[in-house]
Amino acid sequence: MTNSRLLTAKSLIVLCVFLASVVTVGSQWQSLSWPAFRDARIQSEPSGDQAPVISFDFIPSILTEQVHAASLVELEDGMIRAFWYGGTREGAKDVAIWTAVLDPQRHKWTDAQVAYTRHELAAGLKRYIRKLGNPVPVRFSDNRLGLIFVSNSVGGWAMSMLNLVVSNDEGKTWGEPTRMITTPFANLGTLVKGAQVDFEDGSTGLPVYQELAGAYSQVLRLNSDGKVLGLARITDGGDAIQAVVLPSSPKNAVSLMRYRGGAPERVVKSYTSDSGEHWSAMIRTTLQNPNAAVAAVRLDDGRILVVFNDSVDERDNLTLAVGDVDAQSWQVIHVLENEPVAEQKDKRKIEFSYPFLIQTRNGDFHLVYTWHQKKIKHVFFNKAWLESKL
Amino acid sequence: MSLHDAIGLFGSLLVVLVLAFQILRRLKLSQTVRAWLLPVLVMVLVYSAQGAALLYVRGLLGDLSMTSLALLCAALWYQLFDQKLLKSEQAAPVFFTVAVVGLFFYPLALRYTMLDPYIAGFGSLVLLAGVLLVGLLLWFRGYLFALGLLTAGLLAYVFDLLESDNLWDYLFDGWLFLISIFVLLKTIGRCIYYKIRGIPAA
Repeated sequence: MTNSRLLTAKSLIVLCVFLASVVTVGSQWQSLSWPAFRDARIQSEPSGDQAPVISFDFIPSILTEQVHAASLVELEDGMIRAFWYGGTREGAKDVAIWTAVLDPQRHKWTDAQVAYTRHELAAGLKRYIRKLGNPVPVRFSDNRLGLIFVSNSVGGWAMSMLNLVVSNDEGKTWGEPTRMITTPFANLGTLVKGAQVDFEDGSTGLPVYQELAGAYSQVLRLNSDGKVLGLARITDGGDAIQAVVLPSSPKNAVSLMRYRGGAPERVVKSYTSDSGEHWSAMIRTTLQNPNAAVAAVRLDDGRILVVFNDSVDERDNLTLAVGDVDAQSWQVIHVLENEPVAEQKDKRKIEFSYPFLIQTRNGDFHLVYTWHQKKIKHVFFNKAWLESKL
Repeated sequence: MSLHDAIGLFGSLLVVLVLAFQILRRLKLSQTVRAWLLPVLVMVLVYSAQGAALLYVRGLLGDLSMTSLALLCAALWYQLFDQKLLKSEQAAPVFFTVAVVGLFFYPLALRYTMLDPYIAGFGSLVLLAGVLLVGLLLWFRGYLFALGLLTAGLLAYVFDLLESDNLWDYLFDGWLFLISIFVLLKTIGRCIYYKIRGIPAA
């Protein structure tokens, strides 16, 4: 290209506008950095004279044939709101996101209600939506309650995307949906399962996972408007999804993940020392894992309380354990469910899966999980009960 | 309707119109007929069944990049008025750049290794340096159309015109990558054919 052609007015104008746009983008990006974790561990009072309590119930009046992927959030008034998806069957067009609220003092649930439907999402996003999936609530730094849930417009779960709705009344009503763009090919492939982590700058971290071309875990960072601020890859390849991220300090955390690879089938873990921006190669733990989701919280003494299927091939049991993830030493403290498939004479589906565990501000624990895909089972136990088992 | 939705649906509309007129070209309709057909098709697509066809297409394809939108506009113009808004030598660098970048970008971004280039689109100055380099190369080579598309993508990002918060999604998309690969393979195939036949390339 000769200099005379380069120096035409048109050429110089295009170049100047290009350079100006690069500088503008650069000035926006210059201030971006990956923040440290905020320590969100519950620093509750010692249990003292508290009587140990553990209780089991089902979320009542489940009005759909199948339910799955429940999650929980503590509301500002101390109530516990649960979300799950339910319909004729997984992936059916009638699947909606459902919700119910527990009064933990009275141990009483409200009736299940529809929180969001496929039609509402399609109307809000101005696009065709085929089915809905996993919902996970988030509490933003401005205290608004968000609900992130999976949808897709074509194909299977591998072609999913994430949507966000925000409530100003603790989940009674929801605003217009927005889509979260998290992958480069038609925004396909992202799902969500694990509970949020918080960052010091007020942004929210959400463990997500990809299933379009591989199967790997990520941390998504977003602000309270649902704007995606960044992504970090926890694993690569095709083996580990549905991470639970457990910070131990502003810089350090471990993630526990469902493992889809070959034998030995174990929950896998990965470490970060820069607040989740980079992660170590994954390592197998000693916890068995039949390609199933796990749930965990970090206790205030640094140990991890984990809920997992203690099996290599079936989700026919659900177990509570406490341990030191670094030392790979785990103590089983309670078997929540155990119906070995091999011992069943009938052909009914046995499944205890997709646990979701939270610790509330007063130190109590609430767990929900899929019970044979027919009901959502809820387990409550207090700190005194946990301490009595250790 | 938000601006994001308007632009997203506009992209779906362009895709349907380009495909429709590609089919209609076989009927050898006159330019006048084609020009009158355009608003009729737009009205049908937008207003019938509350735009269900466009909503469906948007659900399938997602939202397109600024580069795709610009190329679709140029393609539609050609189909309506038989005028090429851009010559092959202007479009070729776009397809070539997208194809070459995409061949590295998509495997890494969708699965392989811990190096995910898509992450850089949320705020990496290294990516921006790369964009600057590519832009200067395009300018130096005189590929002003391609540079214009790159600039349009950057400006659209600055003004938040698309749903995405990632710069990559403004510059190109998966569908453009697939078309670019097709164009690249077709070009390579044609060159090999001419070489085998001993025909000088046009």
